[in-house]
Amino acid sequence: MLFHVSDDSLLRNKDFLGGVLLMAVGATAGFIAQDYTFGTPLRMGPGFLPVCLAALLFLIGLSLAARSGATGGRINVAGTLRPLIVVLAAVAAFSLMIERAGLVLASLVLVLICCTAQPKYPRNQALLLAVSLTVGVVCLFVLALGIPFQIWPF
Amino acid sequence: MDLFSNLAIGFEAALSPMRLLYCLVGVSLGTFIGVLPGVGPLVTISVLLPITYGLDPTSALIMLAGIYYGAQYGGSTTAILVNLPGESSSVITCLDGHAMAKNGRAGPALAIAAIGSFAAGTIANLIVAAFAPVLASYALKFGSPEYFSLMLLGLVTAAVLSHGSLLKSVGMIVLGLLLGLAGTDVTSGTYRYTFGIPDLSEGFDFVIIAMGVFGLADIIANIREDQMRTVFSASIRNLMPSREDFSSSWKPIFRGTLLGSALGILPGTGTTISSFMSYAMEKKLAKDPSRFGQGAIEGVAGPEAANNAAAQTAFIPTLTLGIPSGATMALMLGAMTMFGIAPGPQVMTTNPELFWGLIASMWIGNLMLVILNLPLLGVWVKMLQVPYRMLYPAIVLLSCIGVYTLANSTFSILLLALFGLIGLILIMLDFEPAPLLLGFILGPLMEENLRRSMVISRGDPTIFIDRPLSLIVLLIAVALVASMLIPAIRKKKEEAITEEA
Repeated sequence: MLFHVSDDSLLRNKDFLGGVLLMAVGATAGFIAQDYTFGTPLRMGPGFLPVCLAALLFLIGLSLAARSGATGGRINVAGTLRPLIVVLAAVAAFSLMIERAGLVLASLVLVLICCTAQPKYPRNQALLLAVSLTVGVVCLFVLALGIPFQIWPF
Repeated sequence: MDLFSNLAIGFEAALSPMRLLYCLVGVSLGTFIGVLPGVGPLVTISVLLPITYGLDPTSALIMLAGIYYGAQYGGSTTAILVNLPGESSSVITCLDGHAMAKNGRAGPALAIAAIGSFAAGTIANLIVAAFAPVLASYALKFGSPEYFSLMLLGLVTAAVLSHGSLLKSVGMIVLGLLLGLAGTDVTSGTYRYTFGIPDLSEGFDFVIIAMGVFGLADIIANIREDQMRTVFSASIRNLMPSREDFSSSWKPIFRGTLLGSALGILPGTGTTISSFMSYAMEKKLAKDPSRFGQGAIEGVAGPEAANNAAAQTAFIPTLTLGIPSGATMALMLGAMTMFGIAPGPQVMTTNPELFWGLIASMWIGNLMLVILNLPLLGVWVKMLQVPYRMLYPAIVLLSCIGVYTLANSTFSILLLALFGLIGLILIMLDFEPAPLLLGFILGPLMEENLRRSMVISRGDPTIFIDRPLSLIVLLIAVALVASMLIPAIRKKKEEAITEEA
């Protein structure tokens, strides 16, 4: 933690954070929707429902946050950051590689990155898993289902 | 008799060798993935969706339905053997099922779960076949106001019956509706919430949302918990239930079937609530309620029958009205749209082969489950011993490939990561993501029907209470919300739907 937040602070209250999140999304969605024609009830424009829903979302968020002192439990983020970053990085790497480097390399890299989500993942197992899953998906999607994939970089 | 000639069309369509094969592959793959701890039907269907892309719509839906039942049954297996429910509807099976397994009676528990599910499936199937056409012919008379009110009722029920805070689930529904509106507005052609990205001009793809919010987010959360589950190693002897087991199970199975069939039809209810209610009912009816929780076979038979019956009759509103009764059905509905079939009462007349073929294949799928699962139990037990660290990279890989093959777009994979992040935030903040998917599917439909209603009524919103049917539906919705404001009922609901039951 970069800064100290006391245990019973609202900043650790699930319902307070959730309410603020909904308010933020509602406000943003409503702001964007101002560019769309609102229209009249008879001729509802593309902005009609988005504006109404965004306002509703904002109000729900507001009342959730307002009552959070009584309702919300404490959020526990311990240990989530590593799997989060690792898995998202693995997915992002796959999306960058699939068309340039092909299915085989992209799959190998995805599995190997994924394995680092858990500390002390046995290296041999990770390699074995990466190879066998890659063989598996190539067999399933390319050979059995015939989906056209870029398989190799060349 | 119409019913039988209709079923004949269905069996003719479903019994072709290729379709039988698809059904078999669906059921086995569904069980195979569904048996993995912490992987429910939603994740299973979304991960396996890509393998159906190449099929014709009927075969694809038959296979998807097979995957659905397989996953449902796989979830019960996990619940009984390792006390880990794959999804909320098998939570209740954990109680007595796992207790039976600890008493060395895992075999009979699994067998009665399969047999009960099959019996329930058979009866529920006939109910679907008899009831769906009636509802569909009725639904043809529905106008936009009725549809709008029905969808509203579906959303309200989903919000009221999901566990946790009502305010939070309503928030999720509204967020889902907003997400559903993204893309090109059909009436005006305006791009909404596309952020100038051409890939978003068609809106978000429901598969990406489902995989991100349910699949990826769950995986990330599970890695953290570093599932130190006790691997079930005892061998399963004497699979067959004894004569006493049967004689004490058939009544709960029958009661569970009726209960589940009735609840499954209602929009928004689904499988979870019916299994909980069946358990409560069996416990009330039992001569010696104290046996429950200690391995009472009635506590496995009833709820398993109930949730399977509900899983089947849930297809009635989905197929005839185009209104999904839960997140899983929303996924099936999304798949139908993907194959170019507009869900609604007209499906039965325009695609009778698909409609009745699907119904017939539900029964065939259930039969396959019984035949397949009992002998293959050893294999499923082995699956349970696969450590989580070997599992999650596989699911991440399958999700990425599945999303990519949707439109051969790398942008979709990045969106998957984004929705994984959103899903994780929602999990951390105790938001239930299932209503979000329901709202997402219904968003565009509701907007369309709201617009049409307003045009019919020349902008007068009282049209929704002037039409009798629409009024009744809205009154039910209001009554549901009002009932949640009565503390006693709310408390009962919390008791019935607590996650850690």
